Formats: sequence, C-alpha cells, structure tokens
Amino acid sequence: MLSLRHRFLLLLALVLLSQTVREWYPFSHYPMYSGFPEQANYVYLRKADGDPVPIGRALGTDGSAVKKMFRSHVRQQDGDSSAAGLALLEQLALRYRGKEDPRTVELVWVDVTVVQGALVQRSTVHGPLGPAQLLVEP
Amino acid sequence: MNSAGTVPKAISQAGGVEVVLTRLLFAVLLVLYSPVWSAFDLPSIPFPNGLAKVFPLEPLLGHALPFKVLYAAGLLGFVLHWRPALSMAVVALIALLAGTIVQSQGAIGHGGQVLTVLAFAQWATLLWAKRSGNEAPAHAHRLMMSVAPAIMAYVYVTSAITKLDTSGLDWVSHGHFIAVQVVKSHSSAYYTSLDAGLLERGNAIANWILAHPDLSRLMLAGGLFLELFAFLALLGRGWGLFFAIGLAAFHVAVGLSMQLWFTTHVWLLLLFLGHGVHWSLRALDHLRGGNAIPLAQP
Repeated sequence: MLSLRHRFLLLLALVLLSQTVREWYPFSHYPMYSGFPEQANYVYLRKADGDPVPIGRALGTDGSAVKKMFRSHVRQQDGDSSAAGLALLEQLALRYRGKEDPRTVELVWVDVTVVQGALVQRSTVHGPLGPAQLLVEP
Repeated sequence: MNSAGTVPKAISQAGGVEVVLTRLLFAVLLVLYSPVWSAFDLPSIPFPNGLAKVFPLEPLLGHALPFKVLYAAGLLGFVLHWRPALSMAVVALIALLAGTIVQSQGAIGHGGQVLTVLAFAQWATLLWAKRSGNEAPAHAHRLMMSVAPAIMAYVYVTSAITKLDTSGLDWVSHGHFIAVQVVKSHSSAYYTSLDAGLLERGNAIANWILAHPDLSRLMLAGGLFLELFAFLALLGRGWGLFFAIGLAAFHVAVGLSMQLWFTTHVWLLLLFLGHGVHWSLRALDHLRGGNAIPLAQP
C-alpha cells in the first residue's frame, strides 16, 4: 500500500506530467473554462430551409464537440475560417446520419457578448459544401 | 447479507462486500462511460492526439466488434477476479486506444480521461499484488484505494493550477462573465437536442448572473478553493469524503447552470476520492447496530 508521502508524490508527479504534456490522452491539464472573457461562441448546423439540424441525432456527438472540431480546422487552415468551415462540413458529412443531403447543410458560428449589461449574439455562416466540394460521396 | 446479518461465503472469499461492490461499480462505470462502444466505428483520425501521434491507429477503424468483445470479456474477468491483472490489462489498453481515437477527432473532451487513467492504475495495482505474491482481492483493493484518490485529486489540483496560470485571480473577479458561457452552453445543448426549453432557460440564468455578479463570484471562489486544495483529500477517508461531496456538488451546480454534466467525474469522486462504498456500508452497519459487515482496512 502507498504511504501518505508516496500518495502525495504520485499526485505531484501526475500534476507535473499533465502540465508538461498538456493534452496527451489520457492526460490533460484541464484547460476548459480556465478564463472568463467577455465573449463566448458556439456553432450549429442548419438545413437549406433554415431549420436547425439536431446535432446529437444527425452526428452522434454534441454542439460543443462540433465547435472544437471547427477550431481545430481553423488552426489547421492557418486562421482561414471559411476554408475551415468547409473542411469541417466535409469531415461531418462522412458521419452524417440526417435525412437531408449533407452537402446542403450550413455551419453557423455565433458570438455571444455582453454590451452595456445586455447579452448580444452575432452569427457568421459557413458553407454549404455544394455538390463539387465533397471528396467522398455520403 | 443473509437474514442472520452475516456475509455469504462467496462474497467473503471475494474479499468482502466493500471489495466486491467497489470492483462492480468501477466495472459499471467502465461500461457506461467508455469510448470503446463508438470509437472504432469512426471514419478517420483527422487530428491525432496522444498515442495516435506516434502510431498510426487508422488500421483499427472499422473493426469495432473484436475490441468490444475483448473489452467486455476483460471487464467480466476483472469483476469475477479471474486472471484480474491480465483482464484489466486488456480493458486499460482498449480504453486507451478507443479514447485516443475519440480525442483525435479535433474535439478534445475532458469528461472521461480519468476513467482510463484509473483503469491503468487498477491494472498496475493488480500487477503489483501479483508480483508481491498476495493476489487476495482485499489486498489488491487496499492497493487501489491508496492510489486512486491521488489520481482523482490530481485532476482537480491540475485544473485549478491551469485556471490560475491562465487567468490568475481574474478567474474569480471576472466570474460574472460566465453569463456568456451559460448562453453558449445552453445554446450548444439546444442545437444538440432541439429541446426548446434550453434557450429560454440559458437566457434566464445568464441574466440572473449579470444581475447578481457577486454571488456568481462567491460560488466560483468556492469551487476554485475545493479544486486547489483537493490534495488534502489524501489525508484520510473523512477528508476524502468532504472533498468528494464538495466537488461532486460543484459539478452538479455547474451541470444545472451550464448544461455541462461531468457525470463520470461525480461517480468516480464518490467511489474513489470519497470512499463512498466504505462510508455507505459503515452507515448501513451502524443502522443495523453492529459488526454485521466486515469493512476493508485503510
């Protein structure tokens, strides 16, 4: 059995390891909500008729994961959010389980901020892919 | 226990009620919250993380069934204490592969990593028990319960350090800006399920926070305190219970206000940091008025 001293040493080692490797599954430095800026953002998917796509049913994941994927694509595309939006829609089209053609689905990025004590939201639309922009047929 | 208040022989031989229940509950969590059931069906590994940065894991995709069967068999072996070290090795390795694939989709989540770390800890302690020549379930349980609280505490201490490193004490003083995060998380949850009530609820909570900024700062300060000092939970089962309940309550408050449910963490906190099975059996034993349930030694 580990002595108390060794338990503390194990904890210290894990903290140092996770702070060093940052995100290396299964270790993490747990950066979520480590700051509270005045602005937050989320994404959603919508069909050609403007209705939102239920991300859970259509993709087997959640809106938060889709936003993280979008940010990964933005990093990969050197900050080009338009190209990142299309790359993400391409990635999602491969696992799309919704009824509509995934090439008609748009990605909407929404910024939420506080202006003079009131909550304000602003949207940016990416996509749709269009028939020529899907590398693998769904 | 039978009507006479004694423990059946089979459970005594398996290490006692506390040992069997802890093992069973851990196995249930490894079933319910494992990425194994979906990971190997994913189509690609677009953003390699962890092991996927070193080894190409794409050849594993599309072969879900053998991994699921092996994982289930490993868990069964672990629960029945049949070749427990080997069984847990299979579970831990498959959990590592599955978690790595899921975390390599460009969306790193933080709800389940610790489950895999604990699976490896369980493997290590079972191996340790085997090497020391004492494979008795109660001995392996004592080893695990000396290691697992340190793993649970690490999660919260490192999370607090990251917060202080990123924001300093602004994490508390700017805490009222959590209002925009509340709108974000409720909107995100709405677009996941299209449950219409979520948008209205998110706006109501966010506006309440903006109207009562000091209360939200006070709550966040309490959460940060619990995370930063979670290492004190290693001092004993009583300390462990205090921090486990405090952190679990914080998770529930965050879940209710932000739709961020760290359910795996809540159960793992109660099981491993709070020694929940030990305290529950002790309370039950107290209610039964005696020494009907032999408890594991610390």
